Amino acid sequence: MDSIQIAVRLKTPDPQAVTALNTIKAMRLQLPPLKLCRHDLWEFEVSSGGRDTVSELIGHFADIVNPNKQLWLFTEKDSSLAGEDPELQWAGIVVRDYVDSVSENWTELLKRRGFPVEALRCGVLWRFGYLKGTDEALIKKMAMDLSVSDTREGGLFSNPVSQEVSFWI
Amino acid sequence: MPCAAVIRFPGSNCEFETARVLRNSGIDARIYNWNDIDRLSDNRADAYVLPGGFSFQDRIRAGVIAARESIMDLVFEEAVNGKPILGICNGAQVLIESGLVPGWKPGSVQGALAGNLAPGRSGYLSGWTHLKPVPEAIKKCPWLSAMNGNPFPVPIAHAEGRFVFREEDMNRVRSHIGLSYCGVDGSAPHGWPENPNGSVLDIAALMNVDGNVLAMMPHPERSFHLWQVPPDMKGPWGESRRNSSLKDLEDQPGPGAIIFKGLAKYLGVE
Repeated sequence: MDSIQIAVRLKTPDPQAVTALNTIKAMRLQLPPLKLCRHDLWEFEVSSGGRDTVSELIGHFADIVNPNKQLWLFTEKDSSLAGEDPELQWAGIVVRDYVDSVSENWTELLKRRGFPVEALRCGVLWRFGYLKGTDEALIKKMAMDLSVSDTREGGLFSNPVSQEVSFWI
Repeated sequence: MPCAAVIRFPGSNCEFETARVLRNSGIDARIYNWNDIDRLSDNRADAYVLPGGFSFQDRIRAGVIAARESIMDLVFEEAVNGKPILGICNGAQVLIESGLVPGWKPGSVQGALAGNLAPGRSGYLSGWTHLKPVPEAIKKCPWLSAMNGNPFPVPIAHAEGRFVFREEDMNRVRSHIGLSYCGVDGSAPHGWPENPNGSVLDIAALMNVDGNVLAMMPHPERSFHLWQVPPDMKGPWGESRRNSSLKDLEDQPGPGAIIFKGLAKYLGVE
């Protein structure tokens, strides 16, 4: 069984990331990210075919990747993602729903269509770009604080009652 | 005449009909933009409504950006002072993300309106559902105060409307339920379709601790008139609709009118 992850982003600037960055600026944080990128993150558990299986199914479903407006790539451990400024230091946070009917329904659909996919989980990957040389532990703390909406003024990217947050890879 | 403020965020799309049904209920209603803070601050209303729509295009998560807007500071203050506040659909999402509902610790996010959950279905849903008020809520909540306990049909349309709470909060949230999903006859739902989005405890509308703030996912402003009820609707409301002449339909209140009638009663409108 292979676990294969892909990140999907818009070809154009992502309006969600633009709005999020503007909202963060208004929060007047001590160490705000300078840039922000958003990706749909899809994680497939495939029983055969590995990356070829995933490439094939992506070609079948424009709801996963719409080639007219989106780019995608297989993710690698500790890799930077396309479109990210190499002059910045990046941290990634993944937000997933605890109970996620979208993932469940996609898994069922792919199985019905005969793809060797045992499970699928989707989420959102937020990448935060900080000044290079900033302490990595501090970046991780800031990224996590920014990601959990405990209060109205607190983090932004997940509701802790219904969503889980983890560092990416 | 008492006055209600309807607050419009970028992406709200139900503000006009919401203001109209308030006016039809004998309440002066004015629409304020999210950045009309000074104007609203100088003209405090007797009640506030956050209408449905897609504030800030639902970016990041439905309601989360609007919840951080400065105008919500004013709504927050008025809610704590006991003014009636109603959030409809996207407005409910804003109230939840503001920490006003359930509001055990106002400002803390203690609930969620998560993505719909139904077997074999995901994403946006649109249709009619039946609701039933909780008897204790009728006494406590201005918006429910005109109700007699009977079930009534209301349209529903959303992608993220499943009330969710932490396991340790499940007991105390019961006393905050204002409206529950139910069958046509008021019977408890057996999952989908009576409970259309998988809400825990079949919650359709939730109050804060004092009962003055109500976050409801269905749209009462879309069933304010009897002519808005589909003729093939099951139950007494459908029967009324079928038995009414075209002339009668113009004046007859629909099932959703009871929410706004409740506010009018609370504000002393004759």
